[in-house]
Amino acid sequence: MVLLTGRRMRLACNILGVLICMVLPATASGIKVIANPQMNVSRVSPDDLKDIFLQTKTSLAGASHVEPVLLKSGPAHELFVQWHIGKTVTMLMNYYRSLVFAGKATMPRILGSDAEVVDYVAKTKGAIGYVSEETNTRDVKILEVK
Amino acid sequence: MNLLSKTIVIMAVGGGLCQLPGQVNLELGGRQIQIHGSFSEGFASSSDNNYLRMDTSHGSFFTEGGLSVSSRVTDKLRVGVQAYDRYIGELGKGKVYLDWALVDYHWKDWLGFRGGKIKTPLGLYNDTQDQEFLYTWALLPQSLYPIDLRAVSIAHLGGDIYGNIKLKRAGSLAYDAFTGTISNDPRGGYVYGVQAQGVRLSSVDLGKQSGVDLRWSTPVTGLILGSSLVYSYRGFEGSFYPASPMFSYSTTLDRATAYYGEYTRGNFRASAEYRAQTRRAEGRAKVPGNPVMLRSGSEEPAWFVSASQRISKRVEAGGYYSHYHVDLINPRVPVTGPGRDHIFDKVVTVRLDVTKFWDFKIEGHFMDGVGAPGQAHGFYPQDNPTGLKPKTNMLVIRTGWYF
Repeated sequence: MVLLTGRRMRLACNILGVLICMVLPATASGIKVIANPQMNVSRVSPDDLKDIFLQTKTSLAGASHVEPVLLKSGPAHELFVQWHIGKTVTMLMNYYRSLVFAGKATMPRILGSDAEVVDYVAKTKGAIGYVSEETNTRDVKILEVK
Repeated sequence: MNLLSKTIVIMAVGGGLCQLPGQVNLELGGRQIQIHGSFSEGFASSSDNNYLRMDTSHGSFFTEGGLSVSSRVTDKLRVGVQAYDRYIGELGKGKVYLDWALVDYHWKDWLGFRGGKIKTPLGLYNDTQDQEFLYTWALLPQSLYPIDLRAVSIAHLGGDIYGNIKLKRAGSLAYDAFTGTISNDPRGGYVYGVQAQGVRLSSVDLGKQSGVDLRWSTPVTGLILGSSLVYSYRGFEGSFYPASPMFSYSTTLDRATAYYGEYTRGNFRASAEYRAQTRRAEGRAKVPGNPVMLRSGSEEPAWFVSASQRISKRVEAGGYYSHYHVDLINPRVPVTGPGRDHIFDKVVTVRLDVTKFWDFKIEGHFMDGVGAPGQAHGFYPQDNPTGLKPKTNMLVIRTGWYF
């Protein structure tokens, strides 16, 4: 058995990290990012997606206004928040509250189930949300995160 | 109401409040109206001096709460209002304040406008300092966020220009430039601090305030760096006890410069801020010609460093060191005695999140120094008639609900 220490260990970790990035998709597996079907967008970059949910980006090329829609809880919610926003669920909620109580934003729409998110996104111009992979998303557009 | 019965009432109210949903939404004319609120109750007990205008040496309760209503009128236009109330010893005394009330037009990501009464961005936490539920701490570092002086820094009546500029691979830069006026709080630390110097006030004029805050979300995940610059004006008219000629006091320079940073990684958070407060003022006799009686001022460098870690789903622990120093320039009364030019506060806290909307905190403060007379920073002669002692230890227990 070869023991990796010091510089070799760091090198191995870096190579492993690159390989993981090459193999895994930009979207966390188990999640679909969805948008209102009227939006003239089929793809969103990870940075833009993060900014939309942090409410620092309110439009996209092909959508004059975007509105983030969140799930209230569940594995898809936790995965999305950690993978795409880079915060824990608690930190994200505190971030929103800090904006709301300072008068700098309103709380984004938070819905209780995948079906409710799909229904709201389908009906609301500019809405972008996420649901678990097995959800029926026939009425909405699926965005590629790339 | 004795301690036990007050505690029971607080727990009962808290039990009811924590049944509330995460937010209350109403639909009116097809528009969503959001209602959010927070309420906190605390208890402070100190070893020697009374602190923050409370009778902390005998144990003192304090209360704080806010309620906001806001709505998005169009995709770009938003309106909102928040009421705020506090009862912290002589601070606030239960008066309901208009905390903020504004119209916000967010034209582009990089350009928006706000008008009305608006929370002032200064340093890391000025505009969110009342939201105890955001922090590990029961009390924010008082060197930079003194709750007795909240009114002179919390909000301005005027306008903001703000936005968020993408810097490609260098992250993004949020800016907020503002100008307006600040309002006086007769139940706030500024007035109590002036009165502590033996001044009988006839009027208080907290005038214009202008500034800018830049906040850089760096390419390093979780790292935010920023800087703020704020110019203010303070003045008053009055006379010294016993009856003496009227005089006016007004600042010729009142500038706060802040540099700050915050780093979060997983459940770990560290933050630090340095702020330099420079103040120069003139006292003029209210007689023909308004001759200058006194030119005075102060340099007040202050900073804090903090770190906290969420240990489990419900428990978070941390500590901070808060450093406040004051150099008086040509003071009216010479400052003598130990601890009269600084307050150094070492703090440890444990926070328990009872539910998603209910927290409970226990915090220990170990303070050295009481600051200078005339530069009110928590310690007031009105509450310590036998004199201030150089060291103070304090226990703070605080619980908060929010929706």
